Amino acid sequence: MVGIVCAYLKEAKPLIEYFGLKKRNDKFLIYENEKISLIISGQGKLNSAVATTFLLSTREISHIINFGIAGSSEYKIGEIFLVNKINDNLFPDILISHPFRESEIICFDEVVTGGNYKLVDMESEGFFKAAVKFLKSHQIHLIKVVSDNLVCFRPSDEFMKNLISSHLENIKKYINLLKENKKIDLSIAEEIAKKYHLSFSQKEQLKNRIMYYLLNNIKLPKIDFEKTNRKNDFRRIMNEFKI
Amino acid sequence: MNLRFSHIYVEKQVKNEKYVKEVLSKFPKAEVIEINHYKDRFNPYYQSFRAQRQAQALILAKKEVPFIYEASELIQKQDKNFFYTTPMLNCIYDCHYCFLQGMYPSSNLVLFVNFEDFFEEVERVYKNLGNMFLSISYDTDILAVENLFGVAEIWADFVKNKDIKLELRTKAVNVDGFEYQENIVFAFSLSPEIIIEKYEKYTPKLDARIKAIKKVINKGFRPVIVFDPIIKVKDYKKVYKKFIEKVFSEIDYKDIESIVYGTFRMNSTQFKAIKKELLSDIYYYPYSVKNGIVEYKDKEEIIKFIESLLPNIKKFKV
Ligand code: SF4
Repeated sequence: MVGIVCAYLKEAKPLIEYFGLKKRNDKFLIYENEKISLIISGQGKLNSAVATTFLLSTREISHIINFGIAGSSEYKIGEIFLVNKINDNLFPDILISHPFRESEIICFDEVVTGGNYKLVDMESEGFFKAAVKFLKSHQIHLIKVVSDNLVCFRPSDEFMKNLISSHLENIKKYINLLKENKKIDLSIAEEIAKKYHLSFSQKEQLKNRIMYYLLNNIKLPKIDFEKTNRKNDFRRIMNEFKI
Repeated sequence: MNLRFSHIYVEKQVKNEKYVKEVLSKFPKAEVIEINHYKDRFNPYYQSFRAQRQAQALILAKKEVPFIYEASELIQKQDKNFFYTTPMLNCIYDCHYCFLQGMYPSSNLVLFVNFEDFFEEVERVYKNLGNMFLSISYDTDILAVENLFGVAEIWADFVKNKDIKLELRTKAVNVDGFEYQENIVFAFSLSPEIIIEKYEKYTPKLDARIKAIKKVINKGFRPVIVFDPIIKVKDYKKVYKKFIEKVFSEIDYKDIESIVYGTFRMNSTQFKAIKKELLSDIYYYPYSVKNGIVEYKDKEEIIKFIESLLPNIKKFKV
């Protein structure tokens, strides 16, 4: 499933409605369906890191997105960006062709109300540093919408909705591009190992062999000995799986 | 769709160099991102070598010492004073058996642009020794990107009139730009077509490689042919017999300087690291592991068989 971390409920609301997410009773404010799990972290690096860690340690998540607003002295209000660099030294890997413009972001501890910055926020660094403990950098994404040109303000729900709603379709498209890790089914090895009481290392050898067969499109032999014989079963099995 | 070089990272200290600007001009659509040091981008542990192959990024950087490496005993030496250098980290080709996958945290391509610093060091070492054998394509395929970066040509110019043999080991075929130069050694890696197709992603076909060998022979070069790694595919004896016969029916072995050959082998730490990410049957074959090296149990038999197929010229087993 895809995780989304938002600092404020205001930023999250348009997504919650659009994706039809349902509120869960949990230690954090979490909204979910079968595909998406969205958590509200609160403001700042530390809060973002804690919520990200919580989400990634309690759910099976293959990609995680930090979605939120950002300030900018360069871009127009309402523009949306996929982040390719945080603070000079953190790099999410962008490996798919996507519908957004890209930008760097600088993450601050306090609200920024001046200076020249492409994008600034207060969460990205904490989010990223927590996420890399669980996922690889191509599974970590940051999408930011410019909300202000570096002034201090309190956006209303209405303002947020207007800011974000025109981007929802592209956000959905982007989420659909994110792939789950492929898993190869090796349950047959488990079954054989159980039935013939194979040791751990024998089971590993058998798994390797089954992988070799699958990757070469060779039909797997049927293992169904009439009599089992602990001493010889493994040898007999491997004989059926000749290379 | 492969998005190779959709992102180019440039170290701030080299961004204004002419060569860097030339390279960037070849990728007008790329997202160009400034970085402080290539290691900030290349080294983090949380990257996926395999996933990055979908959109290999380019990193333009300045190499720091050391600029050349003396070949260790493990590396087969075709010559005395054998050195190698790394003008580039990683490769645009994607061979399943490539040890780079187990060596680097990232599959992004790092191209070092401070050629002069390499040259200075080579000059210093070579003057002490009197001569040198220098491989610049030892753990990459520098010719594969010659049309984009021209690195081999820059080196070929540098070694002109010097007692340095420059080895270009390659699976690529773009040799047209090279005029005869006595101290350039092309070493072409060849494999049976079914191995190329299955395990040597993005590389030219066997016929194209044979054609390239013929071209350089016609220019006057005496290339080396490399059969390494030999892989025990199904019916490997038949496969390799047909393959080696084909190679030497099209290329006169008298035009070849030497043959280098060896079976698949790998350091077991790298083997395990690669197996975690790459789905290839190579990593599921039952090998023997001795002294930290993964190799075929019947390596001797395979080698003997291959040797029986090779013409009688200079040979190096690796
Ligand atoms: S050509 Fe050589 S360096 Fe490049 S991927 Fe293949 S084995 Fe690795």
